[in-house]
Amino acid sequence: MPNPLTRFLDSDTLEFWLQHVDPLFAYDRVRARVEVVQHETPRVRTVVLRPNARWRGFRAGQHVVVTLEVDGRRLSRTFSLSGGEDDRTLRLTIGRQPNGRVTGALHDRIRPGDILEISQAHGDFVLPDDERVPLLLVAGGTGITPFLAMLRTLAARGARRDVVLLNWAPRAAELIARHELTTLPNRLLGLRVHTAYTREGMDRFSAAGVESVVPDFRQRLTYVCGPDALTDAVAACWRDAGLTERLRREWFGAPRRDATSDGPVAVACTRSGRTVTVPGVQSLLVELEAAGLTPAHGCRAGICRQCTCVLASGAVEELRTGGTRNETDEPIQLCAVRARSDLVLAL
Amino acid sequence: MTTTRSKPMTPDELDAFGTALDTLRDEVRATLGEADATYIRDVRSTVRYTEAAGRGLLFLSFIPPAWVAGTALLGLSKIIDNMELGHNVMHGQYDWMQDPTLHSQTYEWDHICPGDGWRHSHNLMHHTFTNVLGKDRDVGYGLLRLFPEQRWSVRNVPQILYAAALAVNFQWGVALHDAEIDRALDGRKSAAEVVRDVAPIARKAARQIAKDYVVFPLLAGPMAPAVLLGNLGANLIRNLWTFAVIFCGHFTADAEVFPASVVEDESRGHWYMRQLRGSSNLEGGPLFHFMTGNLSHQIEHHLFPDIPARRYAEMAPRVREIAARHDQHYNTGSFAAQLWSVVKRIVVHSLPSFGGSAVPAEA
Repeated sequence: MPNPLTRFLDSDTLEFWLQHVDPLFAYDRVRARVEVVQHETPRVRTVVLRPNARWRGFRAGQHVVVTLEVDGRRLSRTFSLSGGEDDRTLRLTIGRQPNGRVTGALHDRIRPGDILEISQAHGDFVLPDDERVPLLLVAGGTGITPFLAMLRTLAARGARRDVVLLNWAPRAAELIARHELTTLPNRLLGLRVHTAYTREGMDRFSAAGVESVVPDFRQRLTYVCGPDALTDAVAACWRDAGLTERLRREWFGAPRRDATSDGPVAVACTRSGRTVTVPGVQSLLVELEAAGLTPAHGCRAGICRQCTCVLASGAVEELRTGGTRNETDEPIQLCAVRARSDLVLAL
Repeated sequence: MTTTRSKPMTPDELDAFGTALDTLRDEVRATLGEADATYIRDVRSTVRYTEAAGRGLLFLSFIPPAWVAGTALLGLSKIIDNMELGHNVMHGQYDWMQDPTLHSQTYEWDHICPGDGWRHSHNLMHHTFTNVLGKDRDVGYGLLRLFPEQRWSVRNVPQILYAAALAVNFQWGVALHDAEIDRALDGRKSAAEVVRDVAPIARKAARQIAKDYVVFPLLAGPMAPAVLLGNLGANLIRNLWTFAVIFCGHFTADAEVFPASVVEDESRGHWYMRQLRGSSNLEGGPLFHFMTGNLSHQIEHHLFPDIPARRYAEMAPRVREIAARHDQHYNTGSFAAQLWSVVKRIVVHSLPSFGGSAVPAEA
């Protein structure tokens, strides 16, 4: 949307002034007002949001990146949308992570009336358009959120669909949407829900368990979302059955960022499209240059910040302090850090 | 020759000196948080509100006090924008916030020198090679002879007039200095290189001129001449103030320069030592420090260019104590005294020096 005003007023300044009139105004970003905060379980809350006009809609199963300022730093985390596609509001159902700075702030600080910055919806963890495909949805903990979006969308549209939901929660008191899950089959004909509580002595996921509860699982298109232990087990089971093509997997929760390596690591550069392997011994700047790249740089001594680059994912170590930097989309100085895991750089 | 009031340090002493300053830096960096983020956003809001108020008052120039107040407010806005906001943000002092609108590599300011050019000439050349002759082009801006080590030429005789002209047109001086116009005049830079470096400045200058001298005057209708003069006055206020503050940063009586050889394999301790000896502070109250963009703490700024400048005041006593422990001179004084010593330096070195060894200005 080209605007002649931005020739003389940059878009940040334009937003600054227009937000005095409408706090939701943004030139191209999605800002959303918190309408309600609902308590789902002791450690899970649902934030109901009303987005501004920049929001382009979503498909059930997709996620958004929520950006929140914590201690002065803008931090971003990805959450699946849990409401129906046709709802007038958006729902984010957020579990509090142990030591989670963003989920902790979202739980402790967010109140109705607050404004959150979110991305457009992304992801291909969505249902097929063909309504005849029978489905199996496997969820663990807050991994149920994309499936809630799917089931709520189908129920609201009065659809009839052959769906089995296998759902694990630690215990009954920690089951998200507990009441709704018992009534959904009345509104969505063809839905069967099986819930198990791992801390109450019930079975965890197993191949034998699936075989007995969903004997026709081989015919179903399967979606899994939940903790790594669950998704890994499901992926292994489907691989053994030769069904990897029939499994859709959503990566869920905080990435495993403590996995640092002392060996060579792969650095993927999103702008140049190149991926190189570096030893992770000297500064990233030196090693990227040795690998044939030419990152912009200046003093090579950590002073001038000409080589600052956004770390999209991975972990680096500051050469001088030994401190780790692993925040998503964090700016790092290439000349002052070394790689400690596989990296994705906006370079 | 540059004289020093500091004791020479052995490599071991330099390492200890560097470690003490690193420790201080890490301590402060660990405490950066919400207060700093709120502060810099408040500074940015102040720039925007004062600019709007200043330009608004200039539209009411038929009331003479409104013209005076409007010009003053707009000048104030530009000073804060350039110093406490733009200069500090472009140093990466707030990069840790991960706010794309306050990020060092993309920030743009209300100044003719484009951000990209500034990041090169200032952040890289000046901060890495502070007061190294032939490397740090901020020593005299390629125009003035300020140290006996610089080669004298008859062109330096009237240099107090050059300095006055530079002060009045300081934003142009900074921008053209970045394009190394002085080297082009000396024939050390080709016409093609000049065109390449001047093009982005010309684009930025066109935008700035259009804003201050065409668009806003035209918007004012019959008040156009008054608005134009007010904008000119605001730019002049900003130019004089920034010139005075910046020249007090490195060219006071006790500021030292260094030969180009020192930067080869330079240790961190030595780099810190050079920042300390090449910089000078100005004493004053909180408002004065704010109006200088905390460049009144030039020493702390040069030691810790990417720590938010609002923290320099709390770091200064610790830096002073570390300097004293290592018998290093901590160059500080009142604004008037430091500025007077700069003027004296400009006058004294307009004449040839005797008894010192001359080092070519650019080897």
